[in-house]
Order: sequence, then C-alpha cells, then structure tokens
Amino acid sequence: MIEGTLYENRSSANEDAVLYISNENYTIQVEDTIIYAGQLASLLISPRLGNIERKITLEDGSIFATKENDIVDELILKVIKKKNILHKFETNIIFVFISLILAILFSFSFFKWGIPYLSKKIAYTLPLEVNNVISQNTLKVFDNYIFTPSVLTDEQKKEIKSSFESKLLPLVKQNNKIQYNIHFRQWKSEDKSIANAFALPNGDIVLTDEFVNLSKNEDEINAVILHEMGHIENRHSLQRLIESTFTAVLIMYVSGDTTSLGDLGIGLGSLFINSNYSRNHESQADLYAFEKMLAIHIKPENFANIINRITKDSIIKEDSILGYISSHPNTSIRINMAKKYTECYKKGISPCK
Amino acid sequence: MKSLTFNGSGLEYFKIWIVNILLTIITLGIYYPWAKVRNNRYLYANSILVDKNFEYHATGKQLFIGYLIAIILFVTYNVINELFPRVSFILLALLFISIPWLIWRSMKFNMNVTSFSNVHFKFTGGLGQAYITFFVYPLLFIILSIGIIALITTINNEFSILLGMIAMISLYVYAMSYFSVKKTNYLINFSRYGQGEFKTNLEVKAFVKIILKTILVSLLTLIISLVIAGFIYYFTISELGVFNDLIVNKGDPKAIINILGAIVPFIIFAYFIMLCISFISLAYYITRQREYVFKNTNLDEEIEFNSTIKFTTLAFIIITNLIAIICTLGLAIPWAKVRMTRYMLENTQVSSKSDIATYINEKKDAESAIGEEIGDVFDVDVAIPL
Repeated sequence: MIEGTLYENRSSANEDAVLYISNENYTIQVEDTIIYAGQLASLLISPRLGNIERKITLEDGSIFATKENDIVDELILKVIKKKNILHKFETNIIFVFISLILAILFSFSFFKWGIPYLSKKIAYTLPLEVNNVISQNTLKVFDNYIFTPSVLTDEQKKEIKSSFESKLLPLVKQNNKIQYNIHFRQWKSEDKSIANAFALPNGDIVLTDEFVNLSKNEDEINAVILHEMGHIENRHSLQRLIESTFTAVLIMYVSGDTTSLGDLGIGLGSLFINSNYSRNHESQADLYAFEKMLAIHIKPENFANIINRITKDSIIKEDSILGYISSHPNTSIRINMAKKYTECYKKGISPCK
Repeated sequence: MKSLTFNGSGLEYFKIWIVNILLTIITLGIYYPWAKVRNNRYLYANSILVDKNFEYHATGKQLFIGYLIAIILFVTYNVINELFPRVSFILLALLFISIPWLIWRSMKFNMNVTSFSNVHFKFTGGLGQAYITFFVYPLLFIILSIGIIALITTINNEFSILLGMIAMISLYVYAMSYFSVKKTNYLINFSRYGQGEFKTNLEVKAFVKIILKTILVSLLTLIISLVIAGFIYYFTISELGVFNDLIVNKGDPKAIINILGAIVPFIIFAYFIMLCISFISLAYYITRQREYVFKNTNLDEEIEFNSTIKFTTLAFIIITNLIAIICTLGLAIPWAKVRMTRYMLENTQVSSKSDIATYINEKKDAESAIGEEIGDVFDVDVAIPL
C-alpha cells in the first residue's frame, strides 16, 4: 500500500488517501471508502526525478501524489513493465562519474579539435563570393580609420610588385580563382609608423610603408608576402569568423544556465580561447611560407631576420604571460622553425622533414 | 508567516545535471530542451510551501522549436554582423521590436506550465499592453535623452552642459523608476493563481529612492575599493620599485616583459574588484526592490508576501558562487544554483489573513479560453525580482 494525497482534477482540493495494489489492479481509498478502482495499466505515472513527489494521474484527471517513490517503483512500475532509465543513470555513482569524465573530455576535445576542424570544413565549402564581401568591407574600414596613403616611391612599389609577380604568383597559378593584389598603405599610430603586413581573404595583400623600409632586400619582403599568401590559401579569415561564432554560441549556451550575473566574467575567457586559434593559423602560414621558400630557393633565414627586426621595432612584445593573450606565435618558436628550414635549405631538401 | 523551503541538495542536483549534460553533448545539443525541463522540474518540485510543492509542466517538445529558432537567429546575426555590419543594425532593431512579444509569450507559457498544489498559474496580460510597457516607454526615454543631448550641444557653454548633465541623470533615474513600476505592475497585476488575482500597488517615488540609495552604495564601495587598491599599490608595486626597474631596463625587452608580467596579477585583481563593486550594487538594488515589491503585493487581498534577503548576504553568495564556478570550470553550477534558490526561497514569506492551507485548498484552475494555449516558447527570462 502507498500513502499519499488525492487531488481533484485541476483543483487543489485534496484529501489523504491510500493506494492499494493487488495483481494488476488498484484501488484508492479515502478513510476506508473506495473512491477509485481500476487497472494499473491505465495509470499515468510521472517520471522519477530524485525524490520529488510522484504524481499518478488517474483516468478522470485526478491526481494521486505520493512521496513514496521507491514503493511506487517497486509495486507499480515493475508490474506495468516501465523503467526509470534516466533516474537509474542519475543515481548510479559510476555512471555519474563516467558522465563527468566524458563531459569534460568531450568539451575539451570539441574546443581544441572539433571547432577548428568544423570551421575548416565549412570555410572551404563556402563560395569565394563570401571572401570578397568580407574583404571589401574590411579594407574600406581600415582605409577610413587606420591607414593613410603610402608615401613610397612608384619605383619601390613597382619593384616589389614585379618581384611578386615573377617569383611568387607562379606558385599559385593553378588556383586562379583568387586574384592576388599588392596594396601599399601607411599605418601611423600617434607619431610612430607601424610595420606590418595583412592578408584579406580575396587575395588583397596590404604592406605598410614601415615594413618596406625595415626590410633589407626583396627576399625578406617576399618571405612575408608568402606568409600572407599562406593565410589566404588556407581560408584563415573565414575560419576565424566561423570559429568565433561557434565559441560565442557555445559560451552563451553554457553560461545561460548560471546565475545570470556570471555573464560578466565571460569576456576574458572568450578572449583566451579565440586567441589560441589565431596562433595556430599563424603557425600554418609560417609553414606555408617556409615550404614555398624552399621551392623557389629563398633562404629561410630571411623570414627570421625580418620578423626579428619588426618585433624589436614593435611596441607589444610577446614573451611570457602576454604570449597567451597575444595572437602571434612566440617569436622564438618561429625562429626555431626558421633554423630547421635553413638546415633543409642548405641540404637542398624540399619539402622539409 | 510561513517561509518557503528548498528540499533538494547540491549533490543530488549535480548528479542529475551532469548526466543530462552528457546526454546533451552526445546528441550534439538536440537533447538540451529535455535537459532543461528535467533540471527545472527538480528545482520547482523541491520548492516547498506548507508541505505543498511547485511543479513545472513544460515538455522538451514544447521548448524545442523555440530553441531551434533562437539558435538559427543567433548564428545568422553573428554571421551577418561580420559580413555586412550595416545590415546588423536592422537585425538589432528587429530584435528590439520583437522583445515585447517575446516577453508576453514567455510569461504566458511559463505561467501556464507552472502549478502549485495542483493549481496552475496564468497570465492574462495583453500583447498591446506589453508593447506599451516594453517598447513605447523605453522609446520615449530614448527620444527624450536625444532631445536633451541635442539641446546641450547646440547651446554650447559650461553652465548649460552642467545643467544638461544634471537633467540627463535626473531623467535617467526617474525613467528607470517609472519603467520599473510599469513593468512590475504589468507582470504582477495580470498574473493569476487559479482564479485568484495578484495585485500590486507601487509608487515611482519609492523606486527613485531605491535607485538613489543604490548609487550611494556604489560610490561608497568604489571609494573603499580605491583606498584598498591604493594601499596595495603603495606597499607592493611602488615598494618593489617596479617603475624604476622598467626605466633601468629600458633597452632589454626580456626584462621588461618579466616585470610587466609581474603586474598582470594586479590587473586581474583590479578587474575582480570592479566586478565585486558591480555585484554589490546589483545585490543592493535587487534586495531593496524585492523588499518593496513583495510588501506591496497581495493575492486575492488575502495572501501577503515578504522578502527578508539581505544585500550583504546576497552579494556574498553571488560573488562566491562566481568564484566557485570559475575555479571548477563550471562544475560548481548545480551547487551554486541550489544555494541561490534556497536563499531566495527561505527568505520569501507568505502570510494569510485566515489560514494558508485553507486558502490553497479552495483553489481551482481558471477556465482557459480557446486560443490561449501557447504551444511553444522562446523562453526569455523576464526579471521579476523573485
């Protein structure tokens, strides 16, 4: 027998009642008077959840509520052959432990490998028109707010462009969907001229005046252009867009369940995760550049030299803790890669192992 | 006066929560609405008043469509924001226009699927009223602010700027209070428990007082934090001669990085202090508001409510919850939720002119008109200080 409370349908009027079971039938009695009788199979039993009050709904909508969950499971569920699968999992300590471990593993793997993989697949599937749209808007914004027209001589510009066209373009000739173009801009921040090179997804490569001035020869310039081409060929901008969308959705997803004030702490976390993706992309672009340099016999140390010079020149340095937040790989990692490729260059090995 | 209680435990909830998270992950998120239902059922059904509990009747199926649409919209917005920044403004505008509708639907649905002692709640507010409350009033406020700013910028002298700033702040405080009153009135006065009507009677004046007091509390907390930060700075950074070190090592990038790296903990600490200040202010605001609204709300003129939360305790719970959640990478969420729910419930008191149990026992569900059954929901969380 099960003790509980009997409620009228959709009403809070209630009385103490007892549920009796024999074979596959039940009766409900209130003060020794049988109020209901019927078959167990006609009862609707709420799913077990922890130890919350169990609601058994009768055919006319009345509800028999009881706290005796175990007895309900024992006497009724067994008979009508229903199971509390979820509840079994939720109360089995081994299963809970497995859930915990698996949840952590899944989440970690998804962030570390899943998102980059998915983003890459999607980035390559999207049409090139998407690249064009992003690029045009971005360059416009840069020109409006960051860049000023270049003050290099036409001579300099022509030299760099023709070197690019004769030596580097042939490497990507087969992929003639992307139209590569070199653009020159000046980037001034306060009174300092900044050295940098950008790649936009549609093939536009922007070199700043200071970058050109810091480089000692055309090999150094081409090395950096190759790095930028690596970004374009690997669809990195698109990937970043898709990755940041994934991350934003997931974090909203997960944090949506905390006390709503936890949102304030999210900003930094997002930054950490997103910067990591950018470092991977930079390494990929480095690799691309080095491989191509070997192919057309540009000494890899040129890349290391110009990077070193730019880094010394720039305001933000990358070592130690700040390296986690910065978006470029550690300079020493890059230089080591350059050394490795210099070895291969000397030995004439291409591709490098 | 009877308080509510919470019967569940953090550990029990954690087990349910983590298993359902695993299921959500395995199904790539599809199971999420069902997980949410199960989590809510646990929290609702363990909320007890005079030995009776609340119930959450929504099903995963009902939540699923709204959930799917919300994700699609969110992703679309993000993508469009990156590709066509100008278009995203239009999308944002559309979102603002749809907020009153979302709130209205959410209230109707969430009330419908909530019951206490086998009697369902109900929300009878109209969509038009929702638009007036959540769209027209905010719009009026924005227009007024723009008007004042425009006025200040045309008459360009210091006195008018000062006057303008005072006007802006006063307008803001008054508008916030007015909006809070209208919003709370709308949400409470159209809520029903069975056939019983909730009634609230709020004054803008009271909310203005609360906001002003909150500002005072924020300023106080800010000053105290600045003093503490000042001490820390004095005894650590300047004592260690960090800035001297920086100058001496000017040409050496590696040394500079190491020194700057040592300062990073302080930057993080400063960020943390800032968060604490905003939490304390928020806690104060919530506490006073809840106190006032509860005191002035009744059910059927028979049942009265009271809130006894303290803002210091509330702030402490919020901050320590957040620290625990961050330190455990989210695993402490179930405990945090139980802790907060328990605190809120135990500090909610209900009293009746006659006897609560008797009042409850006489309730029946209201007749529901055809067409009022909302089949699904977008589940917007409306902030009634409950």
